[in-house]
Amino acid sequence: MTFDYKEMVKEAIKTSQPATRVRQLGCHDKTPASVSQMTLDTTARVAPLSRCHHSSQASLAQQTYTRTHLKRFIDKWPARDQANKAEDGIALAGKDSFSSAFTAALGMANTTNICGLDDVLIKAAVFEALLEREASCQFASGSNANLRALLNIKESHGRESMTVSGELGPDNELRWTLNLRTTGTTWARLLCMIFNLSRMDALATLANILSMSFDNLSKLSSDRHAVELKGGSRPIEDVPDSLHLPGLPAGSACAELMEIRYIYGNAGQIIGAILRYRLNGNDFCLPATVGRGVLCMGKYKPTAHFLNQHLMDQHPFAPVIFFQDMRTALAFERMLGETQGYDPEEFIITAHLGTDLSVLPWNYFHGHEVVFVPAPTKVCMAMVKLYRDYIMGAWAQDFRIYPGFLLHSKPSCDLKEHVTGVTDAEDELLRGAVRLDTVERPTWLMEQVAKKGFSYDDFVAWGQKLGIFKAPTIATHLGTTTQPHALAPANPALTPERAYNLADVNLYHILRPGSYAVLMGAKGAGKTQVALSASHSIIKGDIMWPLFRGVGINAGNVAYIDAETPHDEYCANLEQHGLTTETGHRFFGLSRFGDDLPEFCNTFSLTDAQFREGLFHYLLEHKCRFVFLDNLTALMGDAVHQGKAAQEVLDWVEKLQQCGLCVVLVHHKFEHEGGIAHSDKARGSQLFIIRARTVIALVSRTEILREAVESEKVRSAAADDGLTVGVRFNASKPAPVLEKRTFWLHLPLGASEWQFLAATGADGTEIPFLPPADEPAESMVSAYDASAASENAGEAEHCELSEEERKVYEYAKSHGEVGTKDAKTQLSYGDTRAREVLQALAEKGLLVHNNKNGRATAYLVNK
Amino acid sequence: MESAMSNEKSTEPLGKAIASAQSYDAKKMDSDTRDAISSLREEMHEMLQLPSEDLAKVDYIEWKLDWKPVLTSRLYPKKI
Repeated sequence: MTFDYKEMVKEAIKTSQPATRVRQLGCHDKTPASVSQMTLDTTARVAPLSRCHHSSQASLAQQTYTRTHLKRFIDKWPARDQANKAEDGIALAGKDSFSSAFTAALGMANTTNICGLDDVLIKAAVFEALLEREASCQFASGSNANLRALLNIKESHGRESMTVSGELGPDNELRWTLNLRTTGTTWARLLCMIFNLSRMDALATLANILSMSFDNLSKLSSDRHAVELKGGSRPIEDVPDSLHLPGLPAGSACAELMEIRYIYGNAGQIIGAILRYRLNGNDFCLPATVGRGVLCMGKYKPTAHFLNQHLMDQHPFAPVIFFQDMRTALAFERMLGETQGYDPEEFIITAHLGTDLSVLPWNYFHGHEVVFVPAPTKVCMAMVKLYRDYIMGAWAQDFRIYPGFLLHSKPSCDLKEHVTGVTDAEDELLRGAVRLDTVERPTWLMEQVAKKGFSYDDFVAWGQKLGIFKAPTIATHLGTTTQPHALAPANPALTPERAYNLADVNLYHILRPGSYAVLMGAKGAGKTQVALSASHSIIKGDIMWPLFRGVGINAGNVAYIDAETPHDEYCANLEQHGLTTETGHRFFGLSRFGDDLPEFCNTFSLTDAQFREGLFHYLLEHKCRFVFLDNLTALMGDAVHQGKAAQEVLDWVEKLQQCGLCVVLVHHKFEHEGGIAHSDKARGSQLFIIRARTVIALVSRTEILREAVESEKVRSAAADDGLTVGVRFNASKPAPVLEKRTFWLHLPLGASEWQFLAATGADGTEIPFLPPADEPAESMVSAYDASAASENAGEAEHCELSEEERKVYEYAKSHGEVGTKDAKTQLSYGDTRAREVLQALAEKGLLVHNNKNGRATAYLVNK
Repeated sequence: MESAMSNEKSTEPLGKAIASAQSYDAKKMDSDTRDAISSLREEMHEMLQLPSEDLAKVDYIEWKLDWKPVLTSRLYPKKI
């Protein structure tokens, strides 16, 4: 509507005076009514439906527009807000959610959409449905000139002409035509086409044209709703009974309005409502707001309310039952309504929408006794602390929490029966859950809820007992700022000087207290076996690992943190490597799947600061000089790829080093597509490799067979049963002589000792290497085990054996006997040479003939 | 009277309420302002549709946009 300028010109000429016209703007535009004090003014206007007089519509219909006219409305879909986290809530133990079996048993309806509508896709679809509905409504009433412009675009720039036309059909459905060719039925699609917008940006633009906002759908604000008296009349309801949601799978595309629950202001007027919609059997609630006498969604910024907040004011001494889930509160009110009605003197039911607690009007709780009923998720339970703080901060008389769940929807199975896959604590929770539709006397139930309510401290203790909340012991650990006692300084023998000759290398050149080593290999390469045999070797003090001896002193205790192996397999591994008997004395193993784990093992993840802290104290408490972390992928998950997480873990490792520990990080090699392992590169962040003093890369059996390792002996061992592995030193600062060398080993099935096969240099060619005999050197014997020395004294000649003889003799010792064929295999020689070696050993008295002929011929170890 | 008794009576300064009532984004134009300017533009567009013989009789036109949006249009004829 504009002034009639022709008339004004006539008047001005006639009177020779300026012609003046005045009008108030906004009469035709549905600008949002302010929901603050300004509303007091706007309510004086005439009712919205009678505001529009469209006498000028016919003449304006002929007017044409260009896209420029509408360009200013183009908008972008808002970026996602960061979800509210319950970081300030009670610290949760383990994962942030109950087990999937527990959640499945309760059913999706009970465990999702607790604070409103969780699924942003559905929320966007609801908003889209509202926009289309509102656009058609505004267009039909002629109240939005911009929509009219949108359907009357006529541009002519040579080949780039554009013509848009459209109208509403009898069913109030839009039908538009673009350039006389393309047709469509939605406003958003039209905007997509003419402005080349993405679907979401088109929705944002349409919302802009209609003065609506996605945030208005569910983002609650603390703006107070001023009193809209309107003579006490009810607002006009402009809320769709059904929402046809576009873009969802067929059959699931219609949300039905089930219930409207009004929120009353203090003058008894309706200031908003909770709308309960049902989509595929699952309910969700959305806020509706009253603006300009109309109850609607999406147009005005919704104010955060509590259900029945006016009753809380009117009955200041009534106890309040506060449901965390609005739907449970509504279901309970329905039950009350069906039976005997609602006496707010006895108790008041309340709940709220949204996750942002800071915007809610908490002062309504002043002086009330509050019993809180949590929703059945761990995150919701953790938020009890925040609720306690807000409610007690508002001077409530008392705050208690019901230790259980009330369910508004039918769970997916009978909760009294045993549900497979849930923990004992979850089983207890499921059995205690109450289905509201099975309760005959709702007031009795409320009495029980009030009676059973725990104080906050008791509730936290109850949650800790069930393993929902973290036990406080960890918190006190964290609270201590003093360093726990570091280990006593390591024996200097454990930090030997640099070794430039292979003969000088011992076990502690590789596993050196105060530094960290990386042991990496492809899946199945034998990382765990190599690491466990190293643990065994450290504990025994003087035996070989894999080819390098200990120094014969008590090097300290060993901790083994296994995050991957199933518990039975883990126990079998310990047995195989002789560690079971040492458990609890010298060996301290933590298996993720084991029983009776210490409390800090809830997450069993190195990314969890509390786990790291707990483990740190555990290691020092048990005087562990060595710790194997098997393996980083299992202990860090996806975070193993993140530099920041790697840095955090390495900082922690450094702390252990400073306390005198040797840390061994067992890690996966980086694998290309197709599972081919990279020889040098580790999976995830390379920080782990860069900072390690020793990097051992295991060459797996698959790699041996694929890479055609030169040594025939290695290849044939790889084809046999048992584990064949190449121990390649990619880096070895304390023993540079080891760098780029590979030691090929074989571990027969079930055996605990490695057999040496060959050693190769950087170029893959075999190098002469004689592992020291598997006996303690004399100097060590005196220091460690005199009895072992006396046992070995009879084998002094062993030291004088040739390399071939030694190999054959070792084989005979490990197998009890050796035949010509065995000797051939060991030496890769022909029959004649094998027989010569066997005879030489027999002549030296180390082997004796078994007095059998032909194929049965063999030599036994002479005892 | 009613509003005075209400415990929802806001104590916030009026200026803040105006700023927060309409728009979440301070960088974006308030929708009331935008619509008012849009109306003003429509007025100018409408005036320019006058036939040239009428326009020849106009000295100048004054538009004034007051808040809350009230548009005043004053047409000054040419002195003959």
